[in-house]
Amino acid sequence: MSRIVRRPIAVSRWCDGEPLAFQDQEAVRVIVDVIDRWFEMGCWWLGEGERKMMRVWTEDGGLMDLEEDAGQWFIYKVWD
Amino acid sequence: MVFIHLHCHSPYSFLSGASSIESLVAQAALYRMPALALTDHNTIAGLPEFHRWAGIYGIKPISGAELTMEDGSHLTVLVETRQGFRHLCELLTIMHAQEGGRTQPRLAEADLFRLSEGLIVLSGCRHGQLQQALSKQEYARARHWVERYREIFRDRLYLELVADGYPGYASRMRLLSELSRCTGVPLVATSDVHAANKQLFPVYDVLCCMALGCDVYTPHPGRPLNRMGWLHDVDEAILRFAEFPEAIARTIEIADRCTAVFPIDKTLFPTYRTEDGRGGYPFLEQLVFAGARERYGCLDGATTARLQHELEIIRELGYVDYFLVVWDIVRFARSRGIRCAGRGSAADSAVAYCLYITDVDAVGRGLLFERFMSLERAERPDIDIDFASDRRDEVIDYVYHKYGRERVARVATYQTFRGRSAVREIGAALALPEDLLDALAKRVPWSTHADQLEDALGRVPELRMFQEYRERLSWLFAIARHIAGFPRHFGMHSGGIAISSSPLFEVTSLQPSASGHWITPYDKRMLEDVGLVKLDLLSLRTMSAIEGAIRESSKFGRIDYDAIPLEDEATFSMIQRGDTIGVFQLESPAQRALQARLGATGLEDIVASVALIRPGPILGNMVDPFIARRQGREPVTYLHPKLEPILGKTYGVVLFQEQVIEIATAIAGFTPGEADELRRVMSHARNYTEMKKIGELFMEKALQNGIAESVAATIFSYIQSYASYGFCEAHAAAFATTAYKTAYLVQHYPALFYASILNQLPMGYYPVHVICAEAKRRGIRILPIDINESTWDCTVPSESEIRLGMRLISRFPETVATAVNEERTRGGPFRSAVDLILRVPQADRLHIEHLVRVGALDRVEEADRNELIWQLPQWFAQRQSGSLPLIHSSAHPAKQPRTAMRPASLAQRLADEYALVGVGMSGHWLDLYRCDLQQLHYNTIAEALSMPDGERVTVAGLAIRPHRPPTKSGRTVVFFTLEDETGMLDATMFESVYRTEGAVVFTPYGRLLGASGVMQRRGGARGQLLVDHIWGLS
Repeated sequence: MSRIVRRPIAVSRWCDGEPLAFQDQEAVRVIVDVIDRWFEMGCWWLGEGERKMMRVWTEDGGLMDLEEDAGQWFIYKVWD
Repeated sequence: MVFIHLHCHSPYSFLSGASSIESLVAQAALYRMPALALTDHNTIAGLPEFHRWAGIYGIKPISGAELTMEDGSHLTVLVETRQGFRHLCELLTIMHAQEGGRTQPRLAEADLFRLSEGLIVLSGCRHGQLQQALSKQEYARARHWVERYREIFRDRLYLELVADGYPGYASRMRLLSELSRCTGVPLVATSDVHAANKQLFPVYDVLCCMALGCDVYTPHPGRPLNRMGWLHDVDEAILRFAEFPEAIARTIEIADRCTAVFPIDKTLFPTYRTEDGRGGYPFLEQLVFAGARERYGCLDGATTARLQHELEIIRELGYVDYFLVVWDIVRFARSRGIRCAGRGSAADSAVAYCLYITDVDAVGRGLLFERFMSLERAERPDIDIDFASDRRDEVIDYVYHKYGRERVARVATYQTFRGRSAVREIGAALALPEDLLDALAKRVPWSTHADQLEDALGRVPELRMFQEYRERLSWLFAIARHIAGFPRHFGMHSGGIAISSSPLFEVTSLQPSASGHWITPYDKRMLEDVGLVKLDLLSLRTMSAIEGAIRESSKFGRIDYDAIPLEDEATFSMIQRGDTIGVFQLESPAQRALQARLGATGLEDIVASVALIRPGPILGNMVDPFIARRQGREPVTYLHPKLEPILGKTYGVVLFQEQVIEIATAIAGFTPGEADELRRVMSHARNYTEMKKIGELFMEKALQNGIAESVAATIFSYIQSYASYGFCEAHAAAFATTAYKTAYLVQHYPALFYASILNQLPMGYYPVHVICAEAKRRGIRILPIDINESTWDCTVPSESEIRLGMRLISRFPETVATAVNEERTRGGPFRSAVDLILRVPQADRLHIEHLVRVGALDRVEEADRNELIWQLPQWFAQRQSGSLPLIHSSAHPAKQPRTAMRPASLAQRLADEYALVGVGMSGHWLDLYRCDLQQLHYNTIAEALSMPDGERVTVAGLAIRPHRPPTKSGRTVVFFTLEDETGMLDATMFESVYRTEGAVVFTPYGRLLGASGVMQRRGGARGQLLVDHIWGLS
């Protein structure tokens, strides 16, 4: 099961331009593994651009898809 | 470091390539890439153009294709050697020849392995078998695949790393690398290019949506996920393949291995030999002079010199066999009684005339052979021949038989996006409202190109209502602008045929058409690029109409078409009145109006007429001066004495393309090469910049030649206006002879010729109801379709009657008509609908219903049409169960109660007849409105035509063929014809009326129109309506 949440996050640590740790609401989550990376085009006809996607494991056991859209990072999807 | 794109799609991948071949090559050249590969989906159609642009931009072209395998997976194939190219051509042919291969070509691995020599294989994109196996973590299958392919392709197999940015791409690349390490098969980096740059992603996405039949809001695995498939530079490649530098380096290694396959350094045209081995120049010379003696009787010195001059050029340019091949084809057609005539610039050749390829005496008319062929130009000659449409295929079969099926193929043609199709297809992909798209597409003028849509919105009155949607339509316009020249549909050229001296697999693949012909994927231009020559064996329905009339005339004393006198007074008198509906080339409203003013008295006037009503002379404002000078109302003057010998026979007016060339030579001293460039710009490029450049040269050289600046400028303005579109004299002369002879048939054998035209529809300018109306006007009775009289064709029971045939009924099959005819001959006339149903089992319910609706059973049935239609399901059920009694009378079995059935009204009958046959047999559409129209003081068209010049009239009628030809002023003038039950009236509407209320003519509401205005004759006998108000009556 997964849920689309598209919640903004604040990246607190970086590695080669990608998040290493981020603040999600009250919690700080540390990425322990990047499982996959890919790129997705948005609704170009509405002016949206290309987004970078990452599927990550976090230290607290979370599996989630992160999304970068025009410099802002989001938790796009959370996997149960 | 150097990176070369080895996997790249052009628009010939059909809805999968977002950039033109030129822009792909230009982008590669901009990045200083030494080579580029083109790998379209299952075709090599783009390769000739690709090689041409690669030559221009100075990069090495690598040929290839992305093949679809039997399981739907993709495989990238590159051509290493010429043998490899032959194999690729053969593989593509095999793929298309299989069942279902026309639409979904698939390749069996066994065929690929059998024809593997000379081909390099890259393992494919994410749709490739290898990548799919890796995605599914089927490592053993992946390894097995590599080992099998390595066994066949050895060092010509590469594992394709595609950094496509899809989920899992990084791990797939690592797995491929591991596989490479284990098997020793090298890696190569590609980017599966579908666009020249990132910004074209929307174009690519919309094309994919069109291919998939979905819109942009619909997620679909076939749509691109991101925009990484663009033709990027080496820096981007280094970023994408950072872990695999050897895969980047290998692109140049592969490029070095591959051979450029075009141009072929030999002519591929066959050597002609007769069955007894004769051929070559001496044979051609012998044929030409034998033909000359037949054509001219006694040969004078000038004619002999002209023929020798032409033969010398033909020999020097190496086209002896070409002429012999064409001669042989024409000889075959004539020997079988297949009517034919050469058209186009070939009529400039006296040799073609003497070989009976054309019927225009080039010597007698003083036509320039150099317009057709010249040493300076050294272009391939292009001979177009019209054959009777119903027998043209016999000629093509002869060519297949003579040269062998492996050496003959039909030529391809590519339809590109037009304005209307772009609106519908792009709009649907963008999920724009269907109603909006339908309304817009219906109003976009037919001739509008996809890249002119936005401009048309501001310019065309009937599109004004869409201004408010401009922003909503902005993506549609932007994408349409970009894909305007892209091929959309592949098809078979109507008459183009390529003949090769060696098997066609040397240079082309082949694919079957729906009708079973083998087609090369190359169009005319591409064929030339690869060394093949196209012959145009065209099918002209006019020829079949002539033949049909001759055939049917045997009942009344046969027409001798070849003996038709060329100076028949009655025929010219008819032409002078503009009564030329049905006459080849002279039937459009503009031609009829011209004839009524010109007063043609000889064939030369017809030649001039054919050339006059063309955009070139019209834009050059040459029509009125020509008529005035021809009639002696205006003196014939020349801007410069040097023009007199050139323009003398056309009264000082520039009519023909040849004259433009001669003027440039006489006034500006153009060399043959410069004159040829002018000819090219006029007939092909029609490009403003090129015309401006050649204008500057003309002015410069004319001034050097002592011509006054103002005179030179005026003369060039004529050339410039003319440049758009005009006929060469040879072509006009070839058409004029046929035009005159069909006029003769219309004048003397109207029933025969109009019946024959009806049998050839669609042909010419007018639909069936106009041809019938014109026949009626000439006193011919139009007899309705009748189950006991009609055959498949329209026939002529007497010289003043035409019986309409069943072929006119929409979608009615010939097999059923033939069965009806045969059963009638065998068992006598049909006595009722039931009798027909019983005796003609080939007819289904819809066929009988159509016959009822068009009144074909009116004479045998007492029952009304509605009642018969009501009974049909029951009768057919009974026929199927075998319980329909064999009652040969009008007493119907198991007749259902008629109480609820209202008889078909006149309106219903007419609606059915117009919908199914295109003409009213129970009356005219206007019969329904005449009482109301009379009360509203509308005139009939017959009344209007009898009124004097300047009289005001108000008429109503069916609108026929509204059109907006180009004008000198650039302002819009609309021409159309109105038809009511009393006749036809040509109407002209100027821009002011068109802009305020006239746009209705081009909308669905404009089929039945009311119009008021003033009658005028402009010097002719035929009245026209100058429209000042117009409204829809639908």
